[in-house]
Formats: sequence, C-alpha cells, structure tokens
Amino acid sequence: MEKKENNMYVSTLGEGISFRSIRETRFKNACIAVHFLYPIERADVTPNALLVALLNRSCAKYPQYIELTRALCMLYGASVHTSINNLGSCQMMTVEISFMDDRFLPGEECVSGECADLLSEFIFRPKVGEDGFLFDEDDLAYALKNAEERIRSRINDKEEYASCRCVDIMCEGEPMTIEPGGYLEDLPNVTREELTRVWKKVLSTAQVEIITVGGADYEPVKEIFAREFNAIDRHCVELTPLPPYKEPKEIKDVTERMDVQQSRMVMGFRLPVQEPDDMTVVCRLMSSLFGGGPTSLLFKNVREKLSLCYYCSSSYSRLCGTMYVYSGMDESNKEKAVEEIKRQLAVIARNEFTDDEFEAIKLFAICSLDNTKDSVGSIESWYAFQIFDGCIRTPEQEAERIKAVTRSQVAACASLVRLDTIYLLAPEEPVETNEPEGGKDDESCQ
Amino acid sequence: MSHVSDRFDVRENTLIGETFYYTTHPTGVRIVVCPKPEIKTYYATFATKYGSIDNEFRVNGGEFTRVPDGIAHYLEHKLFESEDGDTFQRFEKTGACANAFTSREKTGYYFSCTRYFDQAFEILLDFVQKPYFTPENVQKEQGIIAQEIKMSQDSPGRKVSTNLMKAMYRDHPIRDDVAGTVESIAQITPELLYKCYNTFYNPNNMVLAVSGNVDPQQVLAMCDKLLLPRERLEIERRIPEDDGKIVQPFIEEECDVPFPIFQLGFKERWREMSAREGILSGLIRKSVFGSISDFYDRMIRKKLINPGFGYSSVDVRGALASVFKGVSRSPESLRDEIFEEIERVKRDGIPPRIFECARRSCFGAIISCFNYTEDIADNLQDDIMFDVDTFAAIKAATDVTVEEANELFRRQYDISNSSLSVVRRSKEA
Repeated sequence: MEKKENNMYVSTLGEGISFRSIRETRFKNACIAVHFLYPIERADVTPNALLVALLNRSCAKYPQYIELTRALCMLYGASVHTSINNLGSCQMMTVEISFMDDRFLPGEECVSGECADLLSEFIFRPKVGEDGFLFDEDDLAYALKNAEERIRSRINDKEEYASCRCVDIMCEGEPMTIEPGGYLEDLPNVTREELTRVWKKVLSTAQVEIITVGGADYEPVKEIFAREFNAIDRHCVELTPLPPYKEPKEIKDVTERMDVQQSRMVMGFRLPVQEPDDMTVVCRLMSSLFGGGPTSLLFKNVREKLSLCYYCSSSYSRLCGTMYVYSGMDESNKEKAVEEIKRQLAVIARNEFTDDEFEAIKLFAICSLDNTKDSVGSIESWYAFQIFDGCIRTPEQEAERIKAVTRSQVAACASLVRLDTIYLLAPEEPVETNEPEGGKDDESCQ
Repeated sequence: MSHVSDRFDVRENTLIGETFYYTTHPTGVRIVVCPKPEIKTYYATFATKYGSIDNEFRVNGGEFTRVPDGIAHYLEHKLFESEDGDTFQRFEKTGACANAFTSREKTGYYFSCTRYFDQAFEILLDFVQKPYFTPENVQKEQGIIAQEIKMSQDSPGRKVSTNLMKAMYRDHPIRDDVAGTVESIAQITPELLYKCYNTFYNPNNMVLAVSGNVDPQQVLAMCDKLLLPRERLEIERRIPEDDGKIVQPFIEEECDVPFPIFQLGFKERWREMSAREGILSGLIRKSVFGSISDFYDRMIRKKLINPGFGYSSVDVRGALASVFKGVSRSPESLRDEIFEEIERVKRDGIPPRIFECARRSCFGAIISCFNYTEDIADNLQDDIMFDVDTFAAIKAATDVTVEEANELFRRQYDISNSSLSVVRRSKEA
C-alpha cells in the first residue's frame, strides 16, 4: 500500500519496515540507504562496529575487496558506505550506495539497476565461509587491527578527545557514554561467529527504514527489498525510550593534563527538554543563539570581544536533553571564560538579547533548512534522522515551527539549563610564551 | 559551444549540462557566473591571488619588500572589521553564512545563502574593498591568532606534514605555517597590512565567482555599481630559488602517538601543470597506489597500511610533489615497498583495465561536483586564478589514455628525490 506524503512516496514492506522514495531530478547523482534501528546493548557495540567496517568490503558476488572496488569504479565511481550512530538509547546502522544518475552517463549506459542489486547483495548475500559464518579469518584480522588502531588513535584529535571525556564524566552509566566505535577490551572476544550473531539479530529484529533519493524509477528497488525481507523471519523490537532527564546535583570540575600546547574546555549542561517534546525546536534555537556560529553570543563576546578563546561554540542534543559548550584557550583564562559563558546564558534566560540577534538566529535556522533540499545526501539524512520524532516533517514544515518561536519561549528554555560538568584538557607544564615553530602544510586556515 | 552575449563570453558544456558566463570587469576583476535555477543555495566567492607564500614582492618594478610570515592570514581576519562594526553582524540580517580562508596562494571571502542574495552580495563586495586597520584592532587579533597557531601545533598530522615540507624544501615558504608563528605575527602593524592590501587586493589580481539561481546580467549590473576602480598594478613575487632536489631523505620527530604517522613525498622540478596533466596525476596515484591497485591489496595483507592510507599532490608556485600519507607500523618498510612498486610500474606500465576503473570513477566525481553551487564557484574561481582550462579538465576525464599516464609516471616518480617524514612515540616510551 503506497501513499504520497508531501514529495515522498511511503510504503510499508513488512513488520517494522518502511520504504520512502523521494523523487528528485535536480541532481547528477542518486542514493539508496537502508537504516537499521535497534536499542543499544553494550555487549553488541564492539561486534557491531567491526561488522559495519567489514560489510561494505565484500559480498558473495565480490568476495575480495579489490574486485569490489574495481567493480564500483566501473560503475562510474559508485560508493557503498556503512556507518553506525548512537541516537539516545538506540543505535542506527546504515548501509547505503550512492551513484551517478543515469542521465549523465555517456551513451546509453545505465547504473541505477546494478547499484540497487549490489546494495541488496551486501545486505542479504554477504560473504560467508565454509563454516557458515560471515567473512573469513583474514577479514576479521584486518578489522581487528584497524579497530585497535582507530580506538587507540582517538587521542590524536584533542577536541574530540576532550568532548568524549566530558560526556564520560557527566553521563556515567547512561547510554550516551557508549562509544559506537567499540572498545579495546572487547576486541579479543570478537569472532566471526559473534559477527554472524549480531548481523542476524540486526536483520531480524531492527526497525528498518529504506530511503531512496534520485530521478530514477524506484519501484524495482522496492520490489527487491520487499522480496528479500519477506524471506527473513522477523520479530521487530520496540525501541527503548530516550534516557530520562537527570537534575545535576553538584558541578563536576575535572582537569586532566597531557602534552598539548592549548587547553580545551568542554562544559556539559542538562535541560529537561527531549523529543518528542514540542519545545525541542525552541531549545535548538536557544543553543544557536548561545553558541551556534559567528552570529552567536559566545562567538561575539567570548571570542571576538574578550579574546578569551580561539573557538567557543555550543551544541544541543534533542534526543538526550544535553547541551555542550566547546572552547580552546590558554589555561590561565579558564575561570574568566567559564564566568563569561555562564553570563551569556543568563543574558538569554533574562530575555536580554536583542531583537536583531533573535531574528538573525531564526533566519539562519530557516536558511539552513532551505539548504537541506540542495543535495541528495542531506535530503536523505534529513528524513533518516527524524525516525524518532513521532511524525515526519518536511524542511518547509520545520521552518514554519521555527517562525512561530517567541523570544520568551527561548528565554524560558535557557532558564531550564543546568551546568553539570566542566572538563579541561590542559598542558602538563605551565604555558610558556615562546613557541616553537610548527604548523600545517597544505591545509588552509579559516 | 561558445558565444558572446552582451558582455559575457558564454560557454556551455553539454557533458555536464552547465553553462558558464565569463567576463573581465572594467575594473580588472575577472568574473564567472554559473546559473543553477533549480538550486536554493546561492554561493559567491571573492578572492585574491595572494597567500602565505607571497612574503616578498614588488610593485611596478620598485624595490622588493619582505613582510612577516602569516600576514596574508592575519589580513584575512582583520578585513572582517570595518569602521561601522563587525562584518558578520551585517551578514546576520541576510541569513547568509559567511567566512574566509587563506591558503598558500589564495585568500578567499565567501558566503552562501538561500534568501536575500543581493543584500549579501553587496556586503561581500563592500567589506572586501574597504580595509580598516588600526593599532588597537590589529593588536587585539594577536591573542586569537596565537591560539589558532597553538591549536594546530597539537595535531600530530600537522607535525608530520610540516616536517615533510622541511625535508623537501630548503628555502621555499611552503615550509612555514600559513598562520605564521607567534613571533612573526607580533611584528605585524597596520602599515604593513595596508601595504599588502594595496598590493594584492588590486582588482586585476582578483576573481569573483557566483553560482545559484541568478541572472548573470544582474550580477554584472551589481558589480558595475559595487566594484571600485583602482590603478592597475604589476605585481612581481619572489620566492627563493629551488634546485628541485630534496634537502634530506628522512625526517623524524617524537610525539605521543599510538602508531607511527608518516608522509612520503616525491618531489618534482616545478613547472606549470596543464589541466590534462593534473587529471592524469590523480589517475596515476589512484591506479598505482589506490584501493583498486594490486599494490594496495598487497600492503593491506602485509599490514603495512590501513584504510586511512591516502595521497594528494602539492601544487603551489615553486613546489610540486606527490605525497602519500597514513598510519603504518613500519613506515620505512612501506617506503621500500613503494619504491619497488615504482620500479615495477616504470618497467611494466599501469594495467589498462585498472586505469579505466580510475578514469571512470574520476569522470563520475567531476560530474558530481557540478551539483553544488559551492564546488562550482570555488573550482571555476581556482581555474581562472591559476590558468587551468576547466573544459580541458572535463574532456581529459573522458579521453586520457594509459600511454599518456605511463609516460608521465616515469617522469614524476624519482626515488632518489623523495623524503619520508615520520612522527612516532619515543623508543624508550
């Protein structure tokens, strides 16, 4: 049964499986994405991470990676991506293929049909060894080695590292601390049998969202996935509710030292507004006004006016009801920066921002929504990330919600924000004024 | 297909289904417009051919001037201030997202927006043409830029690439950070900033590119109103002579990284690369060392590389090289394997089937670039600024041959002229 919602054709292919097709002829490329959504389980996190790292490297038709990459190149650079994201108390595992729109290929060539088939090969006919388990021992060794390198190398990106440390400290025992990329200590226990178990579990229990964006006729794609999923015995799981709001009791203030030149500070806040609360749209605007780019209060005051930080920005998670402020600074400025960041939040809570600032933030949010419609990838992820929201909105509908937000609603949201954790990653020794030579090569500076 | 419509040279490319409008404005600014009526995002970029390597120059045959490292980047930051306040605040009212960047050879100012294009365009052209440097506002920026420099020093990836440049180039300014050093930026004064501004922000050194739901004639009408005439200048840039040889074959630095990080560079004597050579160089790297190559497959099996293995080119005036980068448990063994592969490919050539894989994938990537107004305008602007024939590049992706690739490969990869840069944890640790 197919129905048309806005510019989208929606159908249900089975229990917990929906298929959405968005017809777009404005682009030179197209994509098909299959998203699997299921509750996070700590025991499955590491095998799931290894699974996604291997799923797009082979299938029964192309058992060796090199054969597969060559085949994809011959399809004019089609690419298969897999990813895994945490969404509140759930995870979303994605397998997607992007490819050129047939209209732009030389002569009578056509790749869309082959790409749809190939995507289904990855999902339904992965490479299986003689023992019946997924992949082979070389594949597993490869994935284990890369996972170890990737996990150990997290420390190289100091901003990301500081941000993860702040989440760990603030949300101890909550699903937000679960690392979708997996854990070092789990690696010795990951076997091909284990990978086979988690993949079967995902295929048979996850909620499935299939989304296509492009100019081609996607009826054949729908048929492929309807047929393939029908052959699987499925018992779809209920998604776990979002982590509940926790009022911070006392502010955790943690400093850790490392061989760095510059200190990174992350401040973690909580607020009792999460999906599907209608006020999440207000909180997003509040966070943008606070620290969302060069028009925000943090950028204008903490960075530009007081020169306390090189960067200072905020982000709000509508699923977790958390907000983080990220900054880079000299350690000696920490106290001043903390005070100024708190002061800017209080300015919003007291409704003392200017009308110009408020209107600019709204316009900015509306323009970002306009922008969502300008690429295949952003259209696809716009719909994918709304699965939790209870109802699917178009960017235009979301823009109407933003237009309706008032100043006093934004102030009220800011007054609900509570500081939970201040995390500082600082140099081992007091910072000296003479700097050694160093820097970047081919990258430019913003 | 090409024809002249009013003041534009109109060139249509049927392969990608786009039309470009080129003109040189009476002020000297070169302009290109690519209308994309079906896309909501407008993008405009106004840039000068001026970057971190342009530290020594003269105007109209006068005396050469040497300015502090990092001044182009500093100037970029300061141009956002004007007598009547901060430029970001002016953009706020249009909903545009504005920013700027400085690279080795280019400083670009740009915005994207989905509404109020005319207003945002006016602000862009206005602020880039109106410098406002005072001792106070110049002084204030030092703290912010010093923090930016420090932040980049915490990145092991930056260390490994800076060291590679030092191992390959004795005097070329590519050795230095785009942002300069804390010491060099301390020497920057309003007078020096004005000197650089008045030299390099001369209209005939600048290129303006626009893409989106625009009418080229209207863009030009706005330019007529907003672009300020200035006396044309002849700029002569000087960079130290380079003999084309590397300084040292190996450079190493200790740093607390879990696994060694490396970059391996093959230096070439500098020359202006044609659009076709640019495409061929990329195809060579992909077919000989990329994930479609037998070499890549072998190195993964030998556990000498991981999926982060990659490559790029250095193509800056006076500096030309191919660079391989990644994480490896033994960068030295990997280098030896790369050397062996180079000798083998020089002898046996690139397999034609693999080259065709690379070519098709490159064709797809080029076509896909023309989805996005940002990519279109940025690429067209670069092509004009650095004399690259856009149409020749697109055509090359359809008809380059493996014979051309083999011929270029033999010239490009000289094992005796390569440097390996490694950042690894100290052996005692």
